[in-house]
Amino acid sequence: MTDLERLSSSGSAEERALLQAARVRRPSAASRQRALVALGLATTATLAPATAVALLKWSQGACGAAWRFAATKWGTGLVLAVGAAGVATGVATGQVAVEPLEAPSQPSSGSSAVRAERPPTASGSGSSIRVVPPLVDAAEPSAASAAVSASPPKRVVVAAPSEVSLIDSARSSLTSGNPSAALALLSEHRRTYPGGSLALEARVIRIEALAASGRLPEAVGEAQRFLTQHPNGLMSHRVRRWLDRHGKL
Amino acid sequence: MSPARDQMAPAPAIQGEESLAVVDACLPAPDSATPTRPTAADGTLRTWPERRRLTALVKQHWDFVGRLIRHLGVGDEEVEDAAQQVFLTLDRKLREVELGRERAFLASCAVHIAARFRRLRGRRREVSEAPLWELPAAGGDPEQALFQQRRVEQLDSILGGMGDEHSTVFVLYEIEELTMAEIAEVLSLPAGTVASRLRRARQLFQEGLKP
Repeated sequence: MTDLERLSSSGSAEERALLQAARVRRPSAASRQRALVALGLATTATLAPATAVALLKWSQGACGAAWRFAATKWGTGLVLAVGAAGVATGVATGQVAVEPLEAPSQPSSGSSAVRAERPPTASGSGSSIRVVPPLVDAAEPSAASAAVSASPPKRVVVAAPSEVSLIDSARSSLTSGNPSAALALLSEHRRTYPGGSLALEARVIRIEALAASGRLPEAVGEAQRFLTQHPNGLMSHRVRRWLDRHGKL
Repeated sequence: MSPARDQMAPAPAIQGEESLAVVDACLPAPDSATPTRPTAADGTLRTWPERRRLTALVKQHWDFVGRLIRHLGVGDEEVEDAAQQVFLTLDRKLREVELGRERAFLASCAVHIAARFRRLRGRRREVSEAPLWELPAAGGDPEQALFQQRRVEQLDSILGGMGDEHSTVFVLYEIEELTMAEIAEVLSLPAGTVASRLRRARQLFQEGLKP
């Protein structure tokens, strides 16, 4: 079969311009990333390669330095959380500072618990924004958690957690067996990023976390609402199969 | 629920999606040919090379599929959903798709899925919440960008008036530059039919450009 000469080379100037305009049209990189996430091929929906590199450098450099700095200055008073890397790697850039944290009224001796705090919001002081170590339940001590000295604990203040970091932390909490922490982070995500680009992913993780917390009826209700609102797409496909596995479809 | 990140080999007997979060936690894929993880799409075990192939195909052809679906008459608010369904189909049939034939396979899926979306138009409730299209690169010139946008809208209007039979052949040939043989295969049509539809589509295109 012999192909005809294409209009892009044989057509009028107007025809060529129109076809050229059509060819440069392309979906956003974020939409492609969402597809990778939906297919289970990527972990975050908005992480561009350049961002990922920046995050890696930051987490290996600035963040580590901040923790090291704090630990050095105040001895071993800081408590590091397991999920810290999840939050840390989600924070792209920002100032890093350290400020004192009020000492807890009832210090739990020997406990490796870390309290999650609300991630920063726009209503903050406007200067540095607080980032919190991710929530780790007191009942879930981990090898990476280490309560260190009784000297006054400090609060590490760095950039705001991004939407990605919240979702990653929630996912990490869930996979490490702490669905309550995941739910807390997801609630925070909903408050901080209403209508965010990872909202659907957050809802899917929430379904899992509810079920893992023993709140299966709630999880099923949430899954059914999800399907009602979003009957199509890969996230819906995953939710549908989740319901199917639990015999609720 | 226990983390599965460190369980690489032998392959655990995960049937279906043990946990949505666990699947995510398994990535990125290591350099191993051991089939260890389920896919997110159909729950079957997928080797790491297959996962890498699928990832590469999404990265390579996402723009092509999204643009094709849009030009086949699916609304902006549904293009992403439709494109995801195309890649979901690819995920399911990956082992059946020959190396080097992926683009034709994706085009064929896109044509069918776009047709389904057109049929269901108005009956669907889901609306995309995130912007889909990159702004046209017009060298930072807003006037040029606006001009570009108007051209795209004009093309959409012309394609919309062609009818699906002709617009599909036109888009595949003139915009996506598939060969006529590829189009015949994608649409399961005789070569002569493709040629006649293309000729007619060109006439309609040129008529649409007249003031």
